[in-house]
Amino acid sequence: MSITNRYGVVLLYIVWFVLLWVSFPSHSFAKETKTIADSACLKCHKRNGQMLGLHANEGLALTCEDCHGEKGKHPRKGTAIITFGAKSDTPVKTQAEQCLACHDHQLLAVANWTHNVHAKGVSCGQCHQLHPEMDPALLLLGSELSQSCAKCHLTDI
Amino acid sequence: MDNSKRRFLKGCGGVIAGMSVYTVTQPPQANTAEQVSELKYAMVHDENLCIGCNACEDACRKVNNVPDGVTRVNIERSGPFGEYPNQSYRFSRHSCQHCEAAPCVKVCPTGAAYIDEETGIVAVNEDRCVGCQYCIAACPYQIRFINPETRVADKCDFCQQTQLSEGLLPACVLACPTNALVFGNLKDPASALVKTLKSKPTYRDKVDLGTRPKLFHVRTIDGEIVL
Repeated sequence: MSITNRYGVVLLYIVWFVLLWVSFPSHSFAKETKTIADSACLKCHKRNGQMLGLHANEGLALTCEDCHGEKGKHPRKGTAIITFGAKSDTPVKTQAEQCLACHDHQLLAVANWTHNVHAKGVSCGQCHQLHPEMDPALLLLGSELSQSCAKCHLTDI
Repeated sequence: MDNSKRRFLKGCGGVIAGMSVYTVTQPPQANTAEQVSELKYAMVHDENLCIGCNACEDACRKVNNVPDGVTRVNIERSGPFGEYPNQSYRFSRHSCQHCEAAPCVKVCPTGAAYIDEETGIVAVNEDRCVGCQYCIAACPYQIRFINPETRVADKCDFCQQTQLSEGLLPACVLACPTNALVFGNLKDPASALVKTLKSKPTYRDKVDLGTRPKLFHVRTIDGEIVL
C-alpha cells in the first residue's frame, strides 16, 4: 500500500466522521420546542409551564391554548381555563374531551385496554403528564404498572 | 451343645426372615391413612372484584422465581363488552385448580406429581420429575408447563414452599389490591374462604370431568342493577 493511498483512507474516515457529526443537528430539542417555549404564558408560568414533552414538537404546532382553552380574563377569577390532573377543578369530561379531540379512543384502546374502562370516571391527566420530557405513565413496566392500579383500586379488609 | 447352637441360629434366622416379610407386606401408609387431616386448602377468585391489574402474576413471579415466558397464574381477560364509553371487561383466573382427583397425578409415571395428604395441595416433587410432560397433556385446565430453568414440570402450589411454610398467605393473595382472591382452609367453617363460599354463588371449571377442583370463581355480573 502506497503512502498516498494510506493518507487517502485516513482522509476518507475524517470526512465521513465530519459528515456524520454535521448530520446530527445540535440543540435539535430546543429548536423544535421553540414556538411553545416563546409563548406569552411562560412570562408567568416559567416553572409550571415548561413544555418538554412530545406535544411540544414544532411539527404539531400546538399552543398552550389548544389544550388549556382560551385565555379569556385569566388570571382574574371566573375564567374557563382548563386544568388537568386529579386535583383539577375542571370536570373530568371536559378534561378528557381536550385530549380526545386529537386522540381516537379506538387507537387508545389498542395501546392499552384500561383506557376503555376509565373512559367515564377518570381524566387522562390522572395517569398521564404531557409537560415532562417523558410521560411517567409510559415508563411504568411490569409490577410498577400493576402497582399504579393499586393507588386507586385499594380495598382494605 | 452344637445342636442347641444350631437351633438357636435357625431360630434367629427365622425371626429375622419373618420380620422382614412382615415389614414388606405392611401397607406403606397404614399409619397416615387413618389420620384425616384437618387442612384442605382452596381459593376463591371473585371476578367482580378483579380489576385485571396483574399484580398477582407479578408477585407470583417474584416470590416463586418463575422465569419470563411462563407463568403459574394468568388472569385471562375477555372483552370489551358494551359500547364506548360504557365498556367493561371480564377476568378469569387461570391457574392450578388443585383437583381432588387430579389427572396429572394419575398419569405421572415417577410419582413426581402428588397430592399432599396434609393440605390437599397438588404439588410437584422436582427431584422425581423426569420432564416427560404426561401431566401437561393430561391437565384439562392446561396450566402445567416445563420450567425452562429447572427443566421440570411447574405449576401453582399455593406457594407451599415459599409462603405457607413461613405462615404467610400465597403471594398472589397478598398482592391483590382489591381482595379478589380469598385463600383458606375448606374444613374450617370460620375461615374467610368458607364464609365467602357460603355467601357468594361460585362455579368451578370443568366439573363434569370429575376432577373436583378446589379453585372457585365468583362469576362476573355486568352492568347496572335494573329494577
